[in-house]
Amino acid sequence: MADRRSAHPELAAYLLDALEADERSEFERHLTDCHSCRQELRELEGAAELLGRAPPPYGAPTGLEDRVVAAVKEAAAAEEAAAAAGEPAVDGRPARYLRRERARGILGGWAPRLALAGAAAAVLAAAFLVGDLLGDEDLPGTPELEATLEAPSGDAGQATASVRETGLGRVILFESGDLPILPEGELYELWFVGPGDTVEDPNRISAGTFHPDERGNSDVRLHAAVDPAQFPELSVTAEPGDGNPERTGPEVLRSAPGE
Amino acid sequence: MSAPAATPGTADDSELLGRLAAGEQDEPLRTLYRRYGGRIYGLGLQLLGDRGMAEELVQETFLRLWRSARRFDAGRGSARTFIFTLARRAAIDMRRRAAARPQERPRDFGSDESAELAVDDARFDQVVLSLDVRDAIDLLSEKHREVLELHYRRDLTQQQIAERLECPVGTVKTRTYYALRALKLELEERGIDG
Repeated sequence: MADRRSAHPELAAYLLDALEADERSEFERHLTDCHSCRQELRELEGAAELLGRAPPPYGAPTGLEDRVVAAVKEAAAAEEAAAAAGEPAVDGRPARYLRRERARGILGGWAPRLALAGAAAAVLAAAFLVGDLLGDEDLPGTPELEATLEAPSGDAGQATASVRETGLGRVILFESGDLPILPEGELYELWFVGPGDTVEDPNRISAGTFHPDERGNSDVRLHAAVDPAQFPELSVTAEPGDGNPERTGPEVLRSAPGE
Repeated sequence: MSAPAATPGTADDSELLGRLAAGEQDEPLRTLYRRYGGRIYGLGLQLLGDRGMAEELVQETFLRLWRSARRFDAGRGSARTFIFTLARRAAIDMRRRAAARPQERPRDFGSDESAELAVDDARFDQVVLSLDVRDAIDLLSEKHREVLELHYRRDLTQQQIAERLECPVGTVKTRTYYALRALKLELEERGIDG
């Protein structure tokens, strides 16, 4: 491109409206008698305009890829289990599941126990079905980590968490009570915390987000690929819904060290 | 449309959907996630407004993708269109669900009927376009990306940008020019006629 044209370097700045007033008038005078600049302006103005439409940089949360794969695997395993139990399948889903969906008007509303939203409902289809076939206590695998979380400042709120490797991925059963209702747009996030974690130099991995019900209660099932041997503590923070995947909010619950 | 050259992996999207339909999970899911997961998450942020729901949208879209992979027909449209259509339906369903149970969501999603409207074709296409542009910017070289972001996000003059980058104004001008050219190429690779 450089050799094809004698690039007038003001051109891009002109398109991005970054020239001072005098430079701008000078460049506009130049445009009136420079055919190749006018042509190039036409070529690049679309890209300059589109640039202005891009949202600020954002990143999907670390670990979401693993949670997506785990959720699909769990749904697939549940389907196989249903098939093995002789349930007829409709459109790749057991008929029983479809009936449940219709009865609840699914993907349009669920029973209170599952009405928790956030990452919990993210695995809604899987949790629904597996929750049906396998109660929490029937989940395969033995717990790797059982923890009680409490508010560090003695405020309201507590939770219990049980982490187990099911053979289809790691599942976290998480129940909380009495958590304060957050302002609109904020959400709670559960973290696995490793040694040496500080706000400035974090060593933690998100296990997902959740919204408690109006009484501050939640009962969710999350998926994570984190090894609790390396990230042995659990923490819940209140995060602004700003798209930033890092921990920025205050800690509201924490497991006791060494638990 | 075939997958852009810059996307992860080499298998094309249709092939991956075929493998997903045939019962394979890990690799096709992971490759498709790396190609589209970020943009679907971005869609969730833009259309649903919070990280929890954005994450839920990604999970729900991939569950639907797994369930409907066998229905994908390359003769009727691109895999990309198929995936974004699933994401759009999932976003509409989530808004509808949120509207039906306002006490469970931290924000107001209006009435059930407005769900479809809020995620109508035109708006959805605009948001996907803006995310494609973001994706194109993210693939530019660090220097090109930086100079374009400084122009756009901060309302600085070229003199101020030069001070920030600690280089002569002339360098900022030429770098901006080549950055814009590089962006145009990235956009063209995505079939976007900048």
